[in-house]
Amino acid sequence: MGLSRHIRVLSTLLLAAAFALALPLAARATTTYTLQSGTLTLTVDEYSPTDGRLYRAADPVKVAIDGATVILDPETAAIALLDLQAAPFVELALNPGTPSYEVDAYRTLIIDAFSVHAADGALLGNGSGFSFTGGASVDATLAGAGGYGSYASAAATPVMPGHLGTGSIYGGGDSVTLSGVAIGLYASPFNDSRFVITGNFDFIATASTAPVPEPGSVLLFLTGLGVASFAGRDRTGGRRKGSEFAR
Amino acid sequence: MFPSPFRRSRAAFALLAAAVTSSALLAPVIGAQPCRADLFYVQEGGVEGAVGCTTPACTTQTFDLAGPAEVFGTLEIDTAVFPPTLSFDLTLWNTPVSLLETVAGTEDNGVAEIELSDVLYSAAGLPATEMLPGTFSIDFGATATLDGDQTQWNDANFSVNGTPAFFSDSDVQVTGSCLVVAPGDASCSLSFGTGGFQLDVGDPVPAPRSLRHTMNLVLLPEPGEELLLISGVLGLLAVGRRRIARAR
Repeated sequence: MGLSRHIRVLSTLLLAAAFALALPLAARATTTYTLQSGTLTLTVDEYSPTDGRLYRAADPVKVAIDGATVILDPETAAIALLDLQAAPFVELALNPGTPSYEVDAYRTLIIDAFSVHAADGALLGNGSGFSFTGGASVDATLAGAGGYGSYASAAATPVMPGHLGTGSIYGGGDSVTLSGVAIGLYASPFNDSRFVITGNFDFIATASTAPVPEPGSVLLFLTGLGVASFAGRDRTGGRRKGSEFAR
Repeated sequence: MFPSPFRRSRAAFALLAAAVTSSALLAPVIGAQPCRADLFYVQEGGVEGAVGCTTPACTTQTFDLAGPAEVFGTLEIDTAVFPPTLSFDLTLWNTPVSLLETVAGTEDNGVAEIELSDVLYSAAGLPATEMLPGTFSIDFGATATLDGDQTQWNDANFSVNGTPAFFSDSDVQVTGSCLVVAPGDASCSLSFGTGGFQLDVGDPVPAPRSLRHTMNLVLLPEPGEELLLISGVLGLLAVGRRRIARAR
């Protein structure tokens, strides 16, 4: 008698625990992905106000991405967050035709950091593309070196706010692959130069939390638990009857 | 009652001069109008990133770009329509896009290098979104046509898979953005593939491989157009002046 009550209490507790666990799991539809590996290719074009044209400031440089976070909600076809950072410390030898080079202010542009932050995006094309129409913040930290010495690292001021173009996204579940481009026009922290900095990124990110079980899986689990508890109840009931019969 | 030939020619010259002056004064204003089609010419840049992967997701990359390959051609941003559209015709200049095996000595299905030459990247009227004034992002779902020649080589420098051969893909996914810095000056980044950009790689049984080409371009207006306009105006002025002189 005492044993069966214990089993019933235990089963009830287990069921309650399963419900308590299942409800928040079912409510949490987003998955957070963090960087596994990826590269960022940085290209710099300098705008010369004297002749009103753009110059490719230096050859593009490919660097490793240091960190990235992506939060996806496939149910609402949303990409809630795309965060990407790189601290490459790359030195770009500027084009001799550029104003910065001509006045010898600095002939080497150093990109200390490049980051992209965008929220409230949408998944497109059955989840194979993404877009952030709400805008993004694309930030760069620049330093310089020239004939008159070096310029300490400072945040570049966006002349036109940076934007994140449409990109492609593959996968889902355990890992996703993203590729896209972020572009911004910045004023140099040191003089009147203006730079277009383009960052082409490709990276693979893996789910950092356990995947959310489907509602079907939760139901199956709860049904199994219920059957197990009933079986336990029957067994205790049978044992009780048996004991009465034996008596 | 009727104006003399001299007066008539002087009036014509005055009219011409007024037209030239007003067009010169109006040109920058018209140029600053947002609703127009801007035709840009590639000044610098080209294919500066390329990959070859076993699947479109590119979790396994087997080829990487050996070096940048310049392109030339035109790109047009039409803001006179809604949504704005992008059109382009871009062709590889001299250098082919050379894709090398990511790790030396590890051929992918018997192929160590893929060379794509004379590639034409073209698309017309791709819808775009002007996210902020001067920043255009190609709407997702846009496709371009890529065609050209391809040759595949193994580690012993023998061509495989019966190449060279012509390839053509008409539904290559294209994404990217343009930033118009000043009237006529733009910086664009375009990415072709991996969606819809496939090539059969290897021998004796070729396997499909997904490719992506990424271009970063510096775009400027065609200087020839400005020269043509200036020379035309000068020519008209010369004709007008000669007429006046003749009338005198």
